[in-house]
Amino acid sequence: MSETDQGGKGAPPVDEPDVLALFAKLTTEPSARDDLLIRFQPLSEYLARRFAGRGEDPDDLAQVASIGLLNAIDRFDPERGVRFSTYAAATIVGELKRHFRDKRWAVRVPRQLQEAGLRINKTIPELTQELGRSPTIGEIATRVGSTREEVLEAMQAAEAYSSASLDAPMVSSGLTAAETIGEADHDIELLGEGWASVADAVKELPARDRRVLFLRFFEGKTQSEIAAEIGVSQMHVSRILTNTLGALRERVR
Amino acid sequence: MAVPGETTDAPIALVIPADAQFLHVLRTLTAGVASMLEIPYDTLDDQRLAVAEAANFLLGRAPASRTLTLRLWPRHDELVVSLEAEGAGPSTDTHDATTGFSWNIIQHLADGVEQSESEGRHRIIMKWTTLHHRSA
Repeated sequence: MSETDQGGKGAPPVDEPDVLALFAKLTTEPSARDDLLIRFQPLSEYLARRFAGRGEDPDDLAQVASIGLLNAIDRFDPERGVRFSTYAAATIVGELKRHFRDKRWAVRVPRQLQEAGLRINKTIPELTQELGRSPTIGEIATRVGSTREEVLEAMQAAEAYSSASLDAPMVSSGLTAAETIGEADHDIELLGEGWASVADAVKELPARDRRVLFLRFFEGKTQSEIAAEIGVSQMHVSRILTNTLGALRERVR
Repeated sequence: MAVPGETTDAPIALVIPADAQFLHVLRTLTAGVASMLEIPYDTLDDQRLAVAEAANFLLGRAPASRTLTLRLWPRHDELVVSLEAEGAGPSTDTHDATTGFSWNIIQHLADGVEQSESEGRHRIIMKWTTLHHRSA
């Protein structure tokens, strides 16, 4: 998008009298700022919508555009002979572009890593089946043709940026809430004495997360075995364990 | 289990402030070192969880600690990991350390685990065998 098409092109370089009046009392009456905000909110919303459909949350974009509008109100100088709408549009678009630039920089690296993560995610079950155990980092690296370091990096990225696309669909347990609570009591009892201090927190966990804890710490199953049993990837089991233990840790601290 | 500090091989070591916000650094280093060995990924992930849990255990037992020192001995047939809280003084926690939640978790995750406390140093030593050990 070029910035030359942003509002006011060919329009007379004079603001409507009421806008000029609001700017005139901006320093003495704080309500003038709010009035200007309300007055130009439609412009802000319009520009935010022009940036929609690029994977950003529309509410976030509206927020960013509002910040641009606020900045424009605070910095605008009526003496310069530029219409406020022109100035505001340029400021808002600048703010939106900056948002995308910053955001994209943050997302670009993980996206590559996510792709690597997807490849690894596919490789782990294959190798697990072939080897009869979960593969080593070295074995995964050899199979996907990268280094151990890259494999590790991708796996850690997948953990940090747990995205829905990496997760296989969950198999629903089909239990009612009452059955789930009964099951929770049973699970905690079996987990034993060490779990008494976190019993209440364990009961509040989603049934699936509790099941993962139970399979790992009572039945002593490996992550790969748990993954196969509940129908998710091993990396997902890893994430569930990490997050769940982290949450329980907060409770006992 | 032999105390690794008494062997001659130098460990890979990292010192962090005794603060939960740095635990991920311990996890990352542990995974990095473990990835050098023939250790199944399941186990490697257990090791990361165990190190974080051990840190939690030590912070609970010795809340006045200044630092946590992670030492790793990557060997052909095993990975030995020790985590030590320093500057804590004697434990004020009178409960039996080995009945709590963290200890329970660590025991399940490690092939072997010991804890000791002397002269204000609280230490947990964990051990995992590699595939070389299993096939031997």
